Amino acid sequence: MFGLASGFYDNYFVPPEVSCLIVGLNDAGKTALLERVKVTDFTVPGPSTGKRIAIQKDRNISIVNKTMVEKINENPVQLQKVQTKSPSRRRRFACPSPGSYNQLNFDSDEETDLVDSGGESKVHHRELSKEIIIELPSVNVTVSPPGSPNKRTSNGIEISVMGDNHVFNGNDNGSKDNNTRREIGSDEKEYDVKAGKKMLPLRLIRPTRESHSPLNNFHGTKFLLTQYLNACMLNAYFSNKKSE
Amino acid sequence: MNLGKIEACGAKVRLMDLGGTVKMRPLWERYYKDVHAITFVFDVSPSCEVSKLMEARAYYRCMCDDESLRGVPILIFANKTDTRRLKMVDDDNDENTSLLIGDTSLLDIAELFLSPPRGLKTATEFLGESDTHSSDCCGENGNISMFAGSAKTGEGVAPAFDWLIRKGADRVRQLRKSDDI
Repeated sequence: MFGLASGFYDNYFVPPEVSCLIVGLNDAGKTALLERVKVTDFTVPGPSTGKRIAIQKDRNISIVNKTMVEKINENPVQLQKVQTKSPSRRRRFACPSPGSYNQLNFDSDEETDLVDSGGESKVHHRELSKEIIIELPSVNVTVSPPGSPNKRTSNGIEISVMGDNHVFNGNDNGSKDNNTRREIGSDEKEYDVKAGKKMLPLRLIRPTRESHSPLNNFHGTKFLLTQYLNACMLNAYFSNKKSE
Repeated sequence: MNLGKIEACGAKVRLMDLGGTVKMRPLWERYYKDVHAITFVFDVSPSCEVSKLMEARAYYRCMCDDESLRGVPILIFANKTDTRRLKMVDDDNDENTSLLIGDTSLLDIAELFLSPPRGLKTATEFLGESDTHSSDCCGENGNISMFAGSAKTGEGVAPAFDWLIRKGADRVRQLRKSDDI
């Protein structure tokens, strides 16, 4: 009897499952919108009162800024390093993006690109996910002299930032300062973001392609190849024309 | 296709993001039967061509005419409004002959987009007087609403999807009731 009653109760109060479609032309920003909705806070009272929300967010940001400023005064060097690196985000793809997208810097707050070499890349990623969450005070930054062979320590990972080689020895003591650190890089004001969340960087969001062929979907290999061939042919054609 | 699951406004929402290339567009209508809400996204940044806007409008009209979408709430989202604050830099205008949106006001764009061949209201009635980023939905039973915002900064996304999810949940309840009967 209780089962029946609870069943009715559950059935009555079950949250409705809405399936929602996002469509639009290419480059309209659908995937970005999806990623944005994932991190949007809907609990802020009063929809369609953009002004009030903006004021609240301003306050938050100013508070965050204060702590940031203090921290920057404490040890500026380390913070500068942290600003330019966020290796753990490397794994957060919406879907596999072609390698060329990582070279484009859509976001100014993430300049770091890891330089992996072929077969070792998987190992790299695993290490990243475990160990590279770096607590601010415990970061040891050692800049290896230029020209010296790169060494990988047991828990350190080589990262090349803009041509320099830094070895970050990270101990993951938890990530208390994650929020403040994420706020540092972002120049633009964001609205209605859930606490402690950040949207996927735009440079990782790539055009959603058709998935008939596995090649098409995986790192856009086929696409890149055809583009490259096209470019080569055009080049040859025009050079011929010029010589004539 | 990208998937996302969120919980908001007392509902579990499954978001499906379809591709927008020319090849993928015919596939949209296969999903219409199974969804409770639809978002149509288009670009209103100043550097977007007007022809693209017209194309989007054509697809939107096709979508509206679809029989399986009767009663399904449609959110029209004008994206990339954050770029509208910046002023256009006019260089190499001679080479670029395509007509751009430029600083056309959002209301004009909405008028253009929603000016219907069918028996819908005009955009001014849809949006009221305000040219703000979050305009209210149309009428009492209005299933179509237009919002403007930016996915990059998150401006206007929350009110838009708040509206959509509530409408979608209503739709789900409606379907349940009709199933019960």
